[in-house]
Amino acid sequence: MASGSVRASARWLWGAAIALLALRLALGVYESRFPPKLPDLVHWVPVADAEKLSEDTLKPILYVFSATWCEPCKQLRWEVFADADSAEQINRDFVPVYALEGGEAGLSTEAEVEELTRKYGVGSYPTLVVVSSDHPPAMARGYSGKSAVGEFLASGWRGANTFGLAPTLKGFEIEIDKQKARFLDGGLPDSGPR
Amino acid sequence: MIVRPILRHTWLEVLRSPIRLTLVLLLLVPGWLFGLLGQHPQPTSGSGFWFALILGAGIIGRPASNGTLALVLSRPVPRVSYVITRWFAVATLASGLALLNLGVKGLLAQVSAGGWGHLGFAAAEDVLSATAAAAVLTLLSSVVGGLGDVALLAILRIVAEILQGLGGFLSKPALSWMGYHLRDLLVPPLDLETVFRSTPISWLAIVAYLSTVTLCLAAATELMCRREISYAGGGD
Repeated sequence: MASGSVRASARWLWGAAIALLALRLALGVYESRFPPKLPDLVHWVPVADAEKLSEDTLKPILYVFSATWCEPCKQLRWEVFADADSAEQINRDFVPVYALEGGEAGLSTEAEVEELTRKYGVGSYPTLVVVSSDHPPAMARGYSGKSAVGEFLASGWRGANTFGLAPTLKGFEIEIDKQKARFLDGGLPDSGPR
Repeated sequence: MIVRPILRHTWLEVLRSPIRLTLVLLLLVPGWLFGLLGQHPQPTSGSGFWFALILGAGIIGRPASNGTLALVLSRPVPRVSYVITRWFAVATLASGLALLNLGVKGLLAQVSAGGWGHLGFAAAEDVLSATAAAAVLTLLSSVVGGLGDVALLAILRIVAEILQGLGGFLSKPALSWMGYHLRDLLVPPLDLETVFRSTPISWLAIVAYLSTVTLCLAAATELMCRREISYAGGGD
């Protein structure tokens, strides 16, 4: 303990800090068991219905690969899918599919999610994949904030087709799906520099 | 607790720094110019952290390195008060600038009546963000001299991102968890709209924020109280 009043510790501050830390730990345990719910405003479509709906509506499919243990995925869900403007954009422009690791009742089975994960080479969470009939699939890995997701969903995913390259948007790594790229190489005329 | 002469001196010291002022103007002016030129994006929060970073860099480390800390503490000023006052000075100034920025952008964008509610949340988030960033910088600045706190913050932030990325890539939840919480510790987030729209209200987010701020300040004051300063040499 330091001597003299000018070097006295701030006991009241330590008291508050320790009390808040204890409360934080207790609330962490409580909210992991009883998480607060936000209205998820995105109209998720079951995996099994997505392709047919995409063909009928001519909208691209937006796959959101996620896992229950993934903290940024929770942040993505809270900040984007519960946000009225972002959800409206997604519902309007895409057929949204939530591919939760292990499956989710009413939306996907474990086998369906595993198949999609293999098909699009998803290696980390969260990952957003946009699949459309006239563009190569575009992939955005990680979560760098609502605006970055908005930018990717508004126009970023089309960039992969426009230039035939993998542009980067604010921390997002956008990649052309390998299978589709192979298909493009053989089946479609070259649309730009690679 | 707040020592007014130190508060005034810190404000003046920060505002008289040409580099800091230039950086502040670079953060303010482009957005305003876009607004004047007719580009009216919805004003959002986010500038509070950056104002705190610009104004709070070296908040304790700089005076410790250039000898003014020894000079100030040679007077009967409680070290806890010194640390709290320096933090408060940066937090208030950064919050004020963030509010000014949001207010001007809001006026230029001619925000609708409904939009002012969103702007209110953004303003509160900016103030909270500036306050927390100032607390984190105060702690880091108590550990390293000069402007080393900014470098330390950047390094720790990169480490947090790497841990998060590795955790996701290797499917190791523990790594991802560590990276996520380290990032939250360095830049405490508080999305007020999300917090208050969830049912029930997520008190964890609010308590986690307050816990981070108080822990940073408590640790910073403790480090300062235990620090040996050579008053003869003009430095420590």
